[in-house]
Amino acid sequence: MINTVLDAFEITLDRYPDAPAFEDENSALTFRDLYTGSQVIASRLAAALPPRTPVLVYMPKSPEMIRAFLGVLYAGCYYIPADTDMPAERLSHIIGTSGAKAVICSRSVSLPSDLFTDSGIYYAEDLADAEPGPEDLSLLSVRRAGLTDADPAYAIFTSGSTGMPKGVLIRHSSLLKLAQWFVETFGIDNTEILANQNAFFFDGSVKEIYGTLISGAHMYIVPRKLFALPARLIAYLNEIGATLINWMPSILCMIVKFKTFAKVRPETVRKVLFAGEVMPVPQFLEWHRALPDALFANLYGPTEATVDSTYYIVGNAFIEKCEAALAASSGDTSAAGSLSIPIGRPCSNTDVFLLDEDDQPVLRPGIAGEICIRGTCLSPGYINDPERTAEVFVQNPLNSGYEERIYRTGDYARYNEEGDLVFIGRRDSQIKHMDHRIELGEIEEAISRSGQAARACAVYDAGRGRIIAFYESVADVPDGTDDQEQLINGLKEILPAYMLPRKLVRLSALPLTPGGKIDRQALINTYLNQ
Amino acid sequence: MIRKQILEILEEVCPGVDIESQTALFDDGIIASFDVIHIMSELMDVFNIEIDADDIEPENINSLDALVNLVESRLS
Repeated sequence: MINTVLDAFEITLDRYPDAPAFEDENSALTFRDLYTGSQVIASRLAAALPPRTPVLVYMPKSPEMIRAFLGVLYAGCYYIPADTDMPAERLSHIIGTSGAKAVICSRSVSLPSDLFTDSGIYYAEDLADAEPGPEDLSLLSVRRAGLTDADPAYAIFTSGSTGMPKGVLIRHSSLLKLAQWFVETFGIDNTEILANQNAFFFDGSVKEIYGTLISGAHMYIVPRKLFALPARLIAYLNEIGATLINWMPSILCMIVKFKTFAKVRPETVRKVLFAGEVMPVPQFLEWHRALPDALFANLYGPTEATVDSTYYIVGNAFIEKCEAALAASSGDTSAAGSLSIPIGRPCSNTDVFLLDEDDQPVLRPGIAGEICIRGTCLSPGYINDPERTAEVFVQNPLNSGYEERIYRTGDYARYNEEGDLVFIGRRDSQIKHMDHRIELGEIEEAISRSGQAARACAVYDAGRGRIIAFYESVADVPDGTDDQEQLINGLKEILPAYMLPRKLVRLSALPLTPGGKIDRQALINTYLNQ
Repeated sequence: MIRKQILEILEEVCPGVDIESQTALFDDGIIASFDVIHIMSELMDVFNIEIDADDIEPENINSLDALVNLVESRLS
């Protein structure tokens, strides 16, 4: 019976043991390499750690990182992938919250000291060549027998509005369903070649990794620098023969913006998936013209419901409607821009519905409601944070008969006339920037904590893709003369790079609403819309 | 003037870096991949010029001088 991704992976292993699975500039691992290497890692971990405990994986994105993930799973534990560029304070919070006692890291990264005892640190390089003994293998088979699909497989930390990231736990059952849905929906088999962009500490990569593991596909990790060099990026896709890309819309838009297709066209790509942000219609149409026969799909989902909850395969009728809108406005792209690509319908084995302010279901088209999700996909909650878990994982208000949890996303959507969901926006101050989910409150809290500023308000300039932070300085100095460099250096100690404000503006006083709260909208009106 | 404006854009992206002395801004990873795109977009907006995919090559983005040359060649 296939209960977990490990069962599904072993079917691939039997079929295609020596086929390349994951590859980057430095190395390539076959399915057999992944299996044998992960057994070594697992036996070391299992000898030291109880089952169902967290293991941090702290290494550069690489095929070896996936082998480490599998090693953790085979030990009956769950992994927390961590960004090696993350400030030490944030890393320390993640370790503290999760209670992780062990880390798999690489000798090429420096792990901040004092976070783990020496016996808790496993270097990926040292684990590569060892051979598990018979007693190791018997321990692993005990662990495997004790594993159920209700056990956690991984936890991903996302930005939290109170200033501290929260760890979303994901179970084996949810992970397996996601991978199976991905492979079935997009027809992925051993001929598929994926060109990966998403970071492994971000959940957009999860379906690519496990989709590859359960189908026998071949995934290349695209060198990071190529995402700055659009012509070389497309040439690279042609070189590796990439057939599927699952990239953030800002990258797809960047390729259009610099007129890349006039120089080089993708020749082998057949499936283009995008998620995490809104894909604007004019840029989508450029992609469609470059790849008229390709499948395009818009995906939507929060980390708390295991990556993807809804999807929309862009059909010809929608494309014709967009082209017609564009033609009617004689090429003015803003007309097509006012259309939006739906997020579609629920993924298999997932139920997505809208609730209005009175917790009544929204059924008619055009009316906004909060996106709520039910099903096996739901996370059991945030690690060691029952309070924040209880705020968003709640009893289904439409069910008084038995205990049934739903996840309230805080995202708003409406139905269109075709019955597809269309994304509207967020309830709070959460933004999507560079595909990262960011709570502006976390940035504000970091500024206040720096000692340089009394109060702060961060806003997102979506048009230019940048975060701007306004603050009142603590010292009584004239506007614009305090030491912003010191402030930004302080923030770098606390926040990951993608959360750093591009611009800091000191004000003698932040504008307030009649209710006495910081008036975010007034700042947006004054500084962004000028 | 052009130089000063470009310098300001770069300083906003890499606070605390002595831009003038750098000759491998991209190759050394001082400016990250996503920042390159931001810088190019700013140059297009500020100077009202077209920058194509072909222009975005490491040799054009490794130093302030190279970026000034790129902008000047597009302005003329």
